[in-house]
Amino acid sequence: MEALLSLVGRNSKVFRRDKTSVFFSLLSVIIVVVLYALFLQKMQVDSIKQATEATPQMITMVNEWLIAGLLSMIAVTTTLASFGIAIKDIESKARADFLTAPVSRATIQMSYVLNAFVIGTLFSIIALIGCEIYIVATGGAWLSFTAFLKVVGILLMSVLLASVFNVVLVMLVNTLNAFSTLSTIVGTLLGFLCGVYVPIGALPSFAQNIIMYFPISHTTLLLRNAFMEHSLTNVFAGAPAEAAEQYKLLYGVTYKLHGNMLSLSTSYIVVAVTIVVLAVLSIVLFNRKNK
Amino acid sequence: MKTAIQVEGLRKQYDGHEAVKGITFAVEQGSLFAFLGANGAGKSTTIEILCTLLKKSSGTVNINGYTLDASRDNAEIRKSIGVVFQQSLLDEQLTVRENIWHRGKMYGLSKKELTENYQFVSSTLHLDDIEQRKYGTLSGGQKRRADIARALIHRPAILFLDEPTTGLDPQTRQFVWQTIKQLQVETNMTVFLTTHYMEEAAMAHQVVVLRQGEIVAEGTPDTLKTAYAYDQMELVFHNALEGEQWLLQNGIAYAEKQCMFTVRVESTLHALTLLKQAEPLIASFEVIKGTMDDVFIHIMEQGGVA
Repeated sequence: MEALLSLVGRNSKVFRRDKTSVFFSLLSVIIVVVLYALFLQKMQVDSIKQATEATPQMITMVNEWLIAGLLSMIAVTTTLASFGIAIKDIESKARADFLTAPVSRATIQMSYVLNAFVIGTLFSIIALIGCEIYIVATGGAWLSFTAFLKVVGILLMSVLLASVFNVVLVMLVNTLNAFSTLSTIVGTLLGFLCGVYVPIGALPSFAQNIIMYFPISHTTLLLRNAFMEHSLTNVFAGAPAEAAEQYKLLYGVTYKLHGNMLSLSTSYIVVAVTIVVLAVLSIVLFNRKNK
Repeated sequence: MKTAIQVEGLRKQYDGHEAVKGITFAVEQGSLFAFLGANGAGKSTTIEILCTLLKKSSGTVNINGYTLDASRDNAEIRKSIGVVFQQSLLDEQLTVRENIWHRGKMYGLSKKELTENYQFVSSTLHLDDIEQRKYGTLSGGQKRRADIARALIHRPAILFLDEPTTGLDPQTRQFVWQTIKQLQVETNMTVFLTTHYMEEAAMAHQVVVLRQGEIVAEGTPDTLKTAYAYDQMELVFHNALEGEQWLLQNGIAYAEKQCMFTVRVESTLHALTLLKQAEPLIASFEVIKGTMDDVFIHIMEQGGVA
């Protein structure tokens, strides 16, 4: 156990002190923020204005929508970047150095997964605090204590899902070049697959189905619901019920798959089942790789 | 004397290619053992097997009383060995102390043991001036000191050194060897060395030479030098033509390069006899002792006898 904790501590320090890795793990998030500042926010506000009266809370709601997307992306990109240490350790032979000590390959692998979870949680919580400060600074309100706990709970689930999702991906690559390519692909696709770059409702139906079948997008949806609960009610208070429903479907606050509205419970189940399936798959892949 | 490492009929096959072909050797406890061979001879494969990093295809290996691949013995073997790899493997972002401390914890040492061991390696490897510096900012020699300290943090009975001085300046090489010798004397540690520097192999108690996965020569440096190397004498004559004629008249084989004649001598005393005979003709001379370089080149080019 001490060896495992020591390895996790080592992995965490190595990642946090590598400023380039930290920066690139947040690159796709930075791109989203820039795009949002340039035109995404304005586009969404203009779209809502057509359905209801403009209020100061409208900006807060749109900001919360973006923050939910950002947080779900951060969980994935930071955990993936932290797995870079695992690949670097193979290339630099540091893993061989570890294996001359009485620690098993499974312990070493577990240390990378735990580190990914720790790093993902740390960055997500820091981002959450930063985002909350931004919301309040731009005229919004703090999350209530219970809402905050709910968001933290979803974030932990989201980071866990991202950790097992990424460990499976990382087991398919053995070189830093391949890992770098993988990171670029994931970073680019993630914004689309979570419906952050382009609202899900603006996409053709096959693309919408892909997003709805992509488990990580369900953490985005859950976060949107947790963040936007009050602002949605307030913004669409004077508008017809259909306007609110239309907005929710267009911006991925609610999913409608094959004509059926998906409940939040369904999204929780999708996430939980995916975590279990990917965890089992990662163990199978690990055992096969180390036969 | 007790055996630290016993290898019998060790084989390793990869995809139809046999990298190690049934080698057998023993390393005595407390000795310096040199394992030589050209690149691709099977040295690294053998070391990786001995260090539990690679599974053997067949054969038996016993390290410090534990049988390789036997139930739970690999963990005991790992506790018994320290490895200094050819490359610097510690984390560039961490300080020397953090690197060694994190690695030390992997051996299940208590805080007290780790503190004592750290003090030991720190004083032995003179880490005081670099322990708070990040590993990535160190020079090659400083990194090597940290690497050796990492390998020794759990006070292993056997130290594997895989080309430990490659790329180091002469002063650092000297320091590394002084430290290793000091450790051997003080702790009776067994040292298993691979190197391309034959003067380092000459310090070993026992040498094994590997070629294409097979042992082609083994013995002490002296016995190998006797078998595969010879002394030479370089002669410069006052008059090169007269000197060459004298060598021909006396049936002495020679090689000539820029008026310097190199002849083979059986011993230094034999050189004296030749010098006396040709004294009036000789302007200068130098006797060159046979070296492990000669042994290595001879074995690699012409083969040896195991």
